[in-house]
Amino acid sequence: MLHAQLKTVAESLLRGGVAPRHVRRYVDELSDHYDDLVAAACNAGTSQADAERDALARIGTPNDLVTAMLARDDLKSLASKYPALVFSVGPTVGLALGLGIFILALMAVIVSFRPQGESYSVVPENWRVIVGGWIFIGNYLMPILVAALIAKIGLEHRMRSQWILIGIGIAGFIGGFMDLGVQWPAVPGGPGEINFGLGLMPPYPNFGHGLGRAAMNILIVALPTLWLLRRQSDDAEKRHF
Amino acid sequence: MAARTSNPNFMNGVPELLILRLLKDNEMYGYELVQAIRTATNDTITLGEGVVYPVLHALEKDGALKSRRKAVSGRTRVYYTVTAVGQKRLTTLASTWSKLNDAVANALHGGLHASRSA
Repeated sequence: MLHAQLKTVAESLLRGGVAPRHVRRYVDELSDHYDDLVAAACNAGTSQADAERDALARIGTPNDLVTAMLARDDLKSLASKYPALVFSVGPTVGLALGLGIFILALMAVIVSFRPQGESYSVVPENWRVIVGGWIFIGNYLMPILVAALIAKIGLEHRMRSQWILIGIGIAGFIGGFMDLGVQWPAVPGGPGEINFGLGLMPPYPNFGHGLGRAAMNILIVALPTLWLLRRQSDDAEKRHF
Repeated sequence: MAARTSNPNFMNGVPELLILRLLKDNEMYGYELVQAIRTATNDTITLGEGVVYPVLHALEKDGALKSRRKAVSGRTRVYYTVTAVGQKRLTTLASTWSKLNDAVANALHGGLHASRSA
């Protein structure tokens, strides 16, 4: 009975914009409090059934518990207060950070093969294969991961589907046109470069390829997200939200 | 004449005041705190038990309280204690409450309408 009540409270709070970490903690503490009430009543000689019923009554109705928490604006999540910011700027920032991590890792690998006292690196062939794999992950998987993270945040916070899909769309679209690469030196000791391009700028190189990647990114994340949104909506209907 | 400001926290500050005052002396968890409020106020003020937690979380978010999970007799509970920021807030709330208390007492028992009894 308590479990069902607390699930209802948690769902109402998430839909009301309270940050998930505050909801989890609230539910945990209410559960502990209930246990303490039951234990105290049983120690005083009350039957288990009566103790549980009284404890439920003393904890408060789901409506009281939800109202008290929703009244605290400072416990609301950033996503619920500023959805446009989180789901439009957020994916772009996520991609930039992801790109930064990939580039720093590439630089670290390349610099690690710099002979002492020299200004150039000599990267062995087997490591070039590994670097190639890393670049593949950066170009093809990283945007999907960023889009999936945006979807996870949106689902956890019970955000409206429009915001989640906008976030997935932005991450997937921009990520589809990102192109990270390494130009290896033509001769040992010669110059090489780490390059990055965005196919959304003139002259829009490989635009068709980028569009295809963007579509793939969006579909891979959006389809399971839509299924999960549908499941959340069905669960909510069962609880009469 | 300067405009008077209203007292928006007139009633809203009561749970915070009680919680900060009781936690100032002892570290307590939610259930303990609710029972302590009942005892300290002779059952005059009885908070809805579950609704104490949003107040505690908000006070912690403001830096007025800190919490930690502690195991006692085989169970773990989240214990709260007042911080330096909380001490200052308690002093302010207590002072505001004291002034309001005096003002209401003055209105009930004296002041401009001394000829009319309460």
